[in-house]
Formats: sequence, structure tokens, C-alpha cells
Amino acid sequence: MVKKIDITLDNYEAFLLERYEGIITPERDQALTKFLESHGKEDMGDSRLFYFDSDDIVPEGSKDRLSIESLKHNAPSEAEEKMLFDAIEDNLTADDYEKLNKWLNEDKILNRHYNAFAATRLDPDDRLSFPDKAGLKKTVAVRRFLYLAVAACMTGILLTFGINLFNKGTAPNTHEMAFNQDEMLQKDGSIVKMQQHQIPAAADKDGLINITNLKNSKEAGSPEEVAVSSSESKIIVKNNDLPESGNHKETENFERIYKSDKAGDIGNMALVDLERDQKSIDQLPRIPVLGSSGVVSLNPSKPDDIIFSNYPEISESSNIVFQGLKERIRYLDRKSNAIYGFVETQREIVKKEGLFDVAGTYNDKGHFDGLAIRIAGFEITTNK
Amino acid sequence: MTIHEYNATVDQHADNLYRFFVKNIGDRDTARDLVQESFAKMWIKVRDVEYDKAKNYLFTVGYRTMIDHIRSKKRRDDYLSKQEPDPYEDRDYDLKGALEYGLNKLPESQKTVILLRDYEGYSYEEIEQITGMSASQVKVYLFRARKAMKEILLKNKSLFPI
Repeated sequence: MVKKIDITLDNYEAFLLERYEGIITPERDQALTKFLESHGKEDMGDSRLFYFDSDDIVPEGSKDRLSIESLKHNAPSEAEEKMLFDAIEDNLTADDYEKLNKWLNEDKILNRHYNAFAATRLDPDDRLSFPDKAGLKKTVAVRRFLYLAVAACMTGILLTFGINLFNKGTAPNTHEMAFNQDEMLQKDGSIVKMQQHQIPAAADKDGLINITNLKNSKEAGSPEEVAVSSSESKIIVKNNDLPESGNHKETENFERIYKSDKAGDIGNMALVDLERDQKSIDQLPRIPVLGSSGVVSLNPSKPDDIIFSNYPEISESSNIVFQGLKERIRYLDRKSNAIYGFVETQREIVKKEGLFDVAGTYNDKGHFDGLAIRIAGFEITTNK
Repeated sequence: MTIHEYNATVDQHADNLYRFFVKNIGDRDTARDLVQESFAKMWIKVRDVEYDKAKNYLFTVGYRTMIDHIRSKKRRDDYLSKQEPDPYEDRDYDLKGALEYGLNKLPESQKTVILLRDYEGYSYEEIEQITGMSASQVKVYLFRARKAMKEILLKNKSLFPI
């Protein structure tokens, strides 16, 4: 049975080519002749099929572009392009990648398309940035936290005042330390013995104690001038140029209370109120680290035991070399106690009375005379 | 999302959203307005949006805001015709310039998809959520966008010699 040969307008040229190349079968040749006749087509012969003018002549060395494979890939098929796209998008399996790489190595034109595809991956332009981010941001609603903010400000102000007042009365001075602990203090290379609870000399008729006499008697340190403000009990050190007092310039004038059974008997007066201070130091909350100095006081009950956290090998206990540091620790202890005590007191008030309250105030006769606002335990009133 | 998280979202994503708008719209002032509008819309829903989904939410809102803007603009003054870039052949582009030109030639949907994909690194599924397109649409648009840009690049024989 003879197989039917379908020659159409779409494929008859392929049959013509077979005829010119001499590979057409007799059946196909016959069918082609019939087709050409029935469709008014003329077989012009192979001499009329290709015509080149001078512009079409391929330059020497570029003839490989006319190879069948190259011509085939001048424009990749849709399927090939999808494969290239998937490669760019990381959608290929490892096997597919391997095949593709082999393919790309063999086909320069396909490789060119692949490179162009790869170049379509965009990088963000970091130079473009939104110019007004601050304008987009939101702040906490003022009304909601108004009371808290006011309370915080007031607390801060009062804390500051509280601490300053406290410091005024409790700033450390080496003079006291010396008297109190009977320690050896060092100044200008010489060691001076400070005796506890002893007024080192009597005042003259004008109530002044001559420091020269003190020094000559080798009983006291360095107060330049001591005045007796009261013939009975109070001594004011006017010029606190004391050993190691360089860190505490704010205590230029300080008071110490002495008592004596006999008025004016300065020499036999006894210093009071130091023991009270000494006891309270040991009971204070600790601030263990002194800033960046790396000095640590480990034991609250032994404020003299200090170590250098950075240099533990030179840690000492009760060594006079560290007297200034010990003193500093005590100073900070007092300060911390002031803060903790103050905050604790205010917290108790807030716990009992609330954070914020407004109330009327009344005079002795029970008449309204103003408003009182209480914030975090602090009260402001408008009455007289 | 808390107010602090909202502010962190501003820090982290305002620039990205701005770039997305600038590249899509081509106009910095409009892009700036769109960023502000998008964040304003997110702020309204700030209590409902989770922080870890803030970026997606922001880009979703931003994309819709941008589409609304483009549509209204089109109606008013034939927006696209004014945005038509110069013919490619008139300029001697480098790769960056050619990509810029190609990007501007893309239809809006293709441009959006390729920007979300390349600038923000979104997956097909995330782009689907943001734009409301189907997953297959996203992939087709992305393919067409890359192909169109590839053809523009290939025209430049100095960039991709034969």
C-alpha cells in the first residue's frame, strides 16, 4: 500500500529542497509535480533559489555563524528562554543546571542570551533614601503620660535638692577620718599622728587656736586656723586645708560639735556625734564599684576592705595607702543611702496616698482656701 | 505592633518603599507622598498589624496606594504617555542606563513584580499576597519583564557582543 504524501503550501519547499539535493523518492517527486501544477507554482530550479549580493557575503572567519547549530539558536525558542529564566530565578534542579552549563559551553549565542538574562537582575539603588523619616515617626501621646512626666520631673528636682542638702552635711573630710580612726595620714612625706577625741590646744584670748603651736606640738595635722565660735561647744574649722583634702574642696568650712562640762575649757572638750556617723556607715546600702576606677568594696560591714578589680594582686585591707579610696567609698555610701532612703520614703507615701491627687484645702475655721496638688508624695498648694 | 515597633518599621522599610515607588512612578515627590500615605494607612491599623509582618503589610498597602494613584493620574492627564522614555537608539547606554530604560518600558504590573522580586527579595508567594495576582501570573509577568529587558540589553552590542 502506497503511503499518502501530504504536500501543502507550508511544506512544499522542503520537498523542493529534497529534489535539488537529489534525495527525493520517486513517489514524493511525483506528488510534488502534481502539487506544483495544481497550485500554479513553478519549479524554477536550484539556480534561482539563492541569490547573494555583495552585502550578504559573510566575512572571512565568520562563517561559523552560519553553522546549523548557530542558526538554530539565533533566536532561542520559548522553551529555551524559559529554561534560562529558571536558571536566573534559581528554579532549576542540580541536574538541570549541569545540562544547562554544558549546553551554554557549546552554544555561544545561547550563552549570550543567558548573560543578558542574568543582567536583568536589578540591584537596589542605595543612594535613594527617604528624606523625612523623622516625620513618619510617632511619639507617645502627651496626655496619656502627662501626669507621669510631671511626677518624674518633680521627683528629679526634689531628689537633686535632697541629695545636695544631704551632701552639704555629710561630705567626707579627712580631718574627721583622722580623728575618728586614729589613722596615720601622710602629707608632704611626713607622718603625723592624729589623736582621737582630743582638742589639741587651747584657744588664745581672742578665741583663736594657733596652728603653728599645733604643728610644733606634733599633735595635729594641718588646719591653718581654728576659731572658737562659742566658748562653750562649737568649733568651726575655717580653712579646711587638711591632709588629703584635695578631693573635697566643697567642705571648706565645717563644724564639729564638742562638749565640755566647763564653759570655755576647750582643751578638755570631747568630740561628739562621730560615733553616730561611724555606725551608720556600716549599715548603709553599698555602691560597690567606683566608676571606672575599678575599686570595689566587697564587704558592707568592712568598708576598709577594698580591692582593685583590675589589679587584685595589690588588694589591701586597712592600708593607709588607700585611705583616700576608702574615704571615697564612704562618701558614695552616704550618697547612696540618701537616694535609697529618699526614694523609699516617697514610695511609701505614693503607696499610701496614690501617685496623683487633687484636693481642696481648708483653714482653721473650716473655710475653703485653695487647692493642693500632690504628685508622687510632693504637695503644692495655692493657699496662703 | 507597639509605637516603638512602628517607629522601627519606619527606620527599616521607609527607604525600601521609597525606592520601590521612585522606580515605579519615576517621580520622587510623588514617591514621597505615597510613602507618607502608606505609613499613615499602616498607623491606622497599627494595633492589628504584627511587627514581623509589618513589611509585607506596608508593601501591600503601598502597592494598592500606588495603583490607585496611577489610575487616577491616567484618567487626568494620560500619565503613561508623559512617562514614555526616549527611544533607546538615541542614547548610548551603559548597563545601568539600559536597565533603567528597560524598566521604564515595562508595563506597570511587570515593573512592580520585578522590583518586588529583585529589590526586596520577595518570593512568588509573597508577591502574590502583596499584589493580589495569582502565583502563575506573577511568574509569567516576571518572565516577560526579564525577557523584554534582555532584548533591550542585547540590542546594545557593546554590552553583549556577538
